[in-house]
Amino acid sequence: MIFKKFILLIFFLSFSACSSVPIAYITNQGSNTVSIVDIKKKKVRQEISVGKGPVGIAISLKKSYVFISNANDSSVTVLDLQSNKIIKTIKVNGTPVGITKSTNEDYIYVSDWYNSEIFTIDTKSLTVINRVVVGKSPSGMICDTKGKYLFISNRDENTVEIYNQSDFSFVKKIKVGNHPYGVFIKKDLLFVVNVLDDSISIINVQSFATETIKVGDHPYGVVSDMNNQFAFVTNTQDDNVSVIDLKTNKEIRKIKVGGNPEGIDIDDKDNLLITSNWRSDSISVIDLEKQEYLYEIKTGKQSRSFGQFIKID
Amino acid sequence: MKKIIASIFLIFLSFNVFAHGPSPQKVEKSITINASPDKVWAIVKDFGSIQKWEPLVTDSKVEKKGEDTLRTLTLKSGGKVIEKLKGIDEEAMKLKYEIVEGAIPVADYNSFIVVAKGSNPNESTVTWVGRFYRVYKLNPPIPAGQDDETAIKAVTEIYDAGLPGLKKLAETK
Repeated sequence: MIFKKFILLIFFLSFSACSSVPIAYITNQGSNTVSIVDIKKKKVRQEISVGKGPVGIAISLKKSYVFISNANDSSVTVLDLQSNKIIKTIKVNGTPVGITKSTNEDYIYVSDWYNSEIFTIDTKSLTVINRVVVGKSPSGMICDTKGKYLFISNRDENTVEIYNQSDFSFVKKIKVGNHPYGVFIKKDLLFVVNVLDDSISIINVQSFATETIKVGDHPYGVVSDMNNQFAFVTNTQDDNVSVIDLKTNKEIRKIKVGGNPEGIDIDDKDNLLITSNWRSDSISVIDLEKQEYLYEIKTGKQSRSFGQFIKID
Repeated sequence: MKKIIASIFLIFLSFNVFAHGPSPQKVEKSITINASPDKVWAIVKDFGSIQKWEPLVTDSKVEKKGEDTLRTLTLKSGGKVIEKLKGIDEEAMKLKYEIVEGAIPVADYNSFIVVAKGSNPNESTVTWVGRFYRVYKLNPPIPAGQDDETAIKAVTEIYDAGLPGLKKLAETK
């Protein structure tokens, strides 16, 4: 009986490993499109026209939508995950850049770079239901897994702000380095890149203790692996990814990728790390465990993908 | 009153240096030169001598500020530009620099020039790439002269004048 269950388990595990099809949604600023990339098959399935100057991306598996912030025409494109068709373009004011989902995926938060506001989009009605003024030039945003906080990096005032997701009440403001941009959270660690300091800040969201670690030239995006063993940072002006050992908080390696890597996302399940490369119009695929560059896939022009852009089944 | 105006101006200036538009812009230009990569690289990496091959630059003064190497360029059009050397990679034959401040209508300008081997030992390909933003950092309407097009045009003119100038100098025996 146990043996039978074991066989079943093995069968199930191997089946799920085989059937996993990680897909990257890549925003292309220069061609005003999103490339839908099958990472394992190394090819672009589809390239879809969206708004002007698409930057940010947020995927809601639960609601089966992809949200794209279009910085140059004040809009958010909503793509259906199943059909990959645009189902709505939501007009917002200003310059939408950062975009992320709430933990329960009932809301999408969009940061307006110039008016320093956060728009809340209801994922049921697909309308803007709230606008809140935050710090100067909000850029990167992420929500914790517990459903408690929303974290926002305010680029032009060098801070990270924390808001309660439940009622958008202000919790705390933390000083970080010069020009915070991309943010990421795993367990109790919040990661923030400081573009003009060539560093990242790591903030413990329980104690709010902060550490600063030097990385490469003009870092943009950051992610960390499942157990917070390593963090990975795109250095836009060095064409590489810094690997940070989170035990020693030191950079231990640089992985060469395409030109001007901006967005970075991680797929622990498929052992993948992906950067989207603005200058070389491509994505670079990295073996997460070996920390080695694998291959490049051509996308649209000036690929950015700011946010969590891999759809993992 | 004067003080207030001065401080407003200062605030504006510092804002100007750091803030920028939401979408970076790119200019990338290449040229094939009939000279060895070593010869071309020797010219390219000489940070203080760009006026020898860039017709839009009439003068260049290099100075050290702590660990930083800066050059002040005088443009043919009259203005000045301060640029910082960010790195010389001998192996990759790549020079990296950025604009600190100056008369070129761009913000957060980062650039590199790289020399690559050509199809024979006496041929090189030089590529000059800039990533930068427009000057205007608020929502539209964007004033003329501070938009993406102006920024791209200014950088394109510099590269389009400079690369043939570099070719001419490198091919001179």
